[in-house]
Amino acid sequence: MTERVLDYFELLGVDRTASPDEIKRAWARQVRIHTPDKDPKRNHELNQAKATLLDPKARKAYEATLDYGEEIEDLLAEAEAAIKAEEWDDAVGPLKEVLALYPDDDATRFKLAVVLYRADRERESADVLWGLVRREPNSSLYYHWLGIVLAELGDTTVAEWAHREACKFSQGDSEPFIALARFLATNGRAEQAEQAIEEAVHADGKVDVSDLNALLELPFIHLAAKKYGMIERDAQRVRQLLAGADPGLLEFAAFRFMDIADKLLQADRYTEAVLFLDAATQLAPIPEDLRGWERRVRLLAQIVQELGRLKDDDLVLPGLKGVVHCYAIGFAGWKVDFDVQEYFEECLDGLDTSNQYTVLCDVERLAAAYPGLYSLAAETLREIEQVSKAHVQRNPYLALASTRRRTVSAPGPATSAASQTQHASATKGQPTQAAPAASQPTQATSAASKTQAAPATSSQPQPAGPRPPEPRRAEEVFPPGCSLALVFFLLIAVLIVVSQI
Amino acid sequence: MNSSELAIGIDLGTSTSILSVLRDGKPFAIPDPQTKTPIVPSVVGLNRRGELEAGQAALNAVTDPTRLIREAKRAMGTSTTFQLGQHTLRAEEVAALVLRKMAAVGESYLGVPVRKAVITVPAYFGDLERRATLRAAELAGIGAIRLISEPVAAAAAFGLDNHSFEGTVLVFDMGGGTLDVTLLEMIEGVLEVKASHGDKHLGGKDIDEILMNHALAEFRREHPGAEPSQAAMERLKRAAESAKKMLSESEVADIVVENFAAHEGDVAELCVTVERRQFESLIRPLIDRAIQTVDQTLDKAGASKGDIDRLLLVGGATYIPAIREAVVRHIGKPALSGVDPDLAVSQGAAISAGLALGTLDSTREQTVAIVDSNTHGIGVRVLHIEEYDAYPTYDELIAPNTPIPYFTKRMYSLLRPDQTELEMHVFQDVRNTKVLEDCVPTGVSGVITDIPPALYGEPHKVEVEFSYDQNHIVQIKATVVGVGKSTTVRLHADELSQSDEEMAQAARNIDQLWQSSPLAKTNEKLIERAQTAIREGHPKGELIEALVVELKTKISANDAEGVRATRQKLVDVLAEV
Repeated sequence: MTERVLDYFELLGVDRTASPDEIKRAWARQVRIHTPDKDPKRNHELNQAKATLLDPKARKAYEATLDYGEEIEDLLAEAEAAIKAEEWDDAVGPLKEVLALYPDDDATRFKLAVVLYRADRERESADVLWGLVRREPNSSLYYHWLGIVLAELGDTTVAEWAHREACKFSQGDSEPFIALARFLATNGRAEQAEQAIEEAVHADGKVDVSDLNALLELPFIHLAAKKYGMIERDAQRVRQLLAGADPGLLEFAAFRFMDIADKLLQADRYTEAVLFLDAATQLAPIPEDLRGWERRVRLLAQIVQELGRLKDDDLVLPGLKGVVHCYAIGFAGWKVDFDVQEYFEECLDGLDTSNQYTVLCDVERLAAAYPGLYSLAAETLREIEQVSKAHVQRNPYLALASTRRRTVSAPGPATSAASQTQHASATKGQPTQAAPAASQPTQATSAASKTQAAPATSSQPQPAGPRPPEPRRAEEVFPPGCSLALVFFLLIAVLIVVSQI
Repeated sequence: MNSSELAIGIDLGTSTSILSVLRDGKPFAIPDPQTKTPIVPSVVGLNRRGELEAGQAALNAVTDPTRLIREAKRAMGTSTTFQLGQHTLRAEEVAALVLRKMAAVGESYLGVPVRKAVITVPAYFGDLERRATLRAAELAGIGAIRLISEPVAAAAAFGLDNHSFEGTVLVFDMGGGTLDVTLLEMIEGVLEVKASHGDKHLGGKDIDEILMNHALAEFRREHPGAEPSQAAMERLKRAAESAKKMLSESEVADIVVENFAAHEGDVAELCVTVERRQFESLIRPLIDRAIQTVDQTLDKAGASKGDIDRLLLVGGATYIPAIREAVVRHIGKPALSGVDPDLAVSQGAAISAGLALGTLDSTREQTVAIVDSNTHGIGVRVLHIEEYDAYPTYDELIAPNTPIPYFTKRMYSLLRPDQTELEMHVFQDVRNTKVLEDCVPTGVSGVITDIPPALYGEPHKVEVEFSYDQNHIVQIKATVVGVGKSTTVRLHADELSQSDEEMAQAARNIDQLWQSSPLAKTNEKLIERAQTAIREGHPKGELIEALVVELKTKISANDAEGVRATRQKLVDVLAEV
């Protein structure tokens, strides 16, 4: 592996202290002896020697290799092994030793900065990067990293300056602009972030497929700035950029949108998730194995919206509201601060004391105006319907009133064609919980459902917080088959009014 | 004198060619015995008897443009062909005929056959053009000692005369077809090329064309509807050429072509008067382009005008005062005198031959050594794999302005363990961007087939050995490592390469054509017999060889009387028992 390093000083016949002029003259004298005609190989070596020793940086690097080549190689190998094992702290020592032997090795110095950052030693990393920036004031890369590390340290003013310096020396590379945009977006400066993205797109003087990464940053910015109206446009821009490009690229772009949708799903922000999902479908069809996930996203968005309406809907009995709400909690896996099982039982109890014909009408109304919620609780609702129907049929007056009521009640406010079709699509297949490949099992809950008893009260989810890894599903809360038994056993229980719904 | 020790250089130009020889360490341009000038037009033609004529003789004897080939150099390295009577010739075959003419010029003066020479090419010439030039030499039966770039040769001629000079030299070489600008640095007698840049279509011929078009436009204005014949256009071309030369000396020149075109039942004469000022404004765009090329060269070298210590103007077009003045004004340094714009390139080629053969000892004082560099980066197309993305990129093997010869080794990997074939394509980074889309394929490519599958799932490594020799010719050897014995491939130019069989056929054709030249034809058999006698070890071999050269010299000089006398002597010697 270690080839003996050719001694350029010996080759040229000069001292280690030789000046550039001495080197040039020595080279010329040697070239006249070993001309390209007479000795091409030697001539080539002479040219290499001259080129190396006349470039101050290359000369220092060469001298270090000549003097400490083996030691440096061993130390770098040690550092690489630590890096490979992600033992970041262990890599710091050997890298510093390399720099002690060869202080001008900027590549190693930069590696040290990255390793320190990975080792959560941001302060030290920033110091190393400051040193690099001083040595090489035109290097985009060093400023870029300085910006990232300083932002981590909370020094946003200087971090922004560093990001902007990185852009200044980018030489057509769009990465520093994207990094700047990310920085600005996370600091709530969406408009400037957008501007940085435009600069990233035009960094190399042309708009082409290489700008995809820059454009795919826009939805993140718009999400952070809650500019949801822009998301469809973002997808359109991506589509325009990729017109005629490899369909694989479109799929890739669609995945990026779906990835965001999934993250929003984890944060219980279903409405926005659907926006990203729609944007994704603009670019490429949803792959077969993600259809289940897609249905879940759409259904969740629908039930949140329906719960919001249902809360104020006086035409539905609180007990029924409670039943479907419990199903929604189970399906979405929301964390609530009351015992769902107990609450569910209470709701069913309440139904028993209700006017049975009203129960029948209200279930009907749920099916028509709240198809998403209905589909979740369909089995239980049908059982309730049967119980109520049996009750009503035993009471002729109730039966008569039932037909009267039907003639006077107009269709519910949400039984529009759109919601009907949504209903159809939502109930066609049972919602499965397949998540996209990109999604992680760790989920997040909404702050709203933590502080408020019912998520239905909040249609504006808040930023995400941690949530237990496994979502609770409807089937787990209510094992199938149990619900009918519950209805009968709890018919005589005391009704407790749930004020929230 | 032993012919192999003769250091000969041939400037194989677009419009003229010159042969020089090194005598007592100094280059000397050899005059054509027919014309007494060393400047030989790079023209071949067929005379009325269907015999080949070359040089000035071709221009004199052939007026039919379909039987005349000029400026073939512009098509070097392409598959363009030229028609010469019923012969179809590629550019290198035409060049071979010109080279034979030059060899004949040399032989007539030196008295020994010209067997090898250094041949000059424009600095911008790429791999294919240089390979074509080497083929031309082979077809002409001249071993190319090496190729040398024209401006570098010119600088060598300057260097030999100014061996103690140290500093920066700019060579502005505007010949018949091309402009080459080269920046060199000279230190301790070593001339090092810092950067070269060129314009493939900027030379005397383009100026002729401007004058021709101007004259033609004037003529058409006076005689609407008159259409000149092809032969009339050939005469116009020559008239424009001489008007251009005249305008370097005098303030005004006439372009006159009698019987130019039939017009309204009459024969109209073309007569256009061009003043120098008018001429200068006509060629202004060309001058601007030339100045731009100078700036681009300086850019490439990272130098500025102030760094230039000496300015060398070479090539016939630099006789034009407007061009001379424009360059001198732009650089802000007077042009060096003492360098012959016509002969410097050929003289430098002879110096280069002397250095290569060792007749000129570069280690001795008062000599020079030359270190050339490449003009464009060259690399191969490889697949770059980054995480999950794989995209083709240009991987540079030699950066522009690297001193040559140059050697490097690079390790690559095959893509898959079961890969059985490897294709390699060599690209030239003409726009200096290192982006594959901007690079052009050199036409040099190679394939390795039947690679056995790799065991243990790790794809085979491929070692690429790259060399760029001082003829600016690329050699790449790719070796699949670890397949027991390594498979190697020598890259070749696929489209333009000729098989040995095709080469031999082309050589026979060229030979046949050459032998058709007058006088040569009648003496062909005798010379053939004499050469056989020399090969067979005739006791008077040396005398016979001398007589053959003498005979060839007389033939070249079109000296019928001399031919007869020498022929008699040769017959006498051969007839002896």
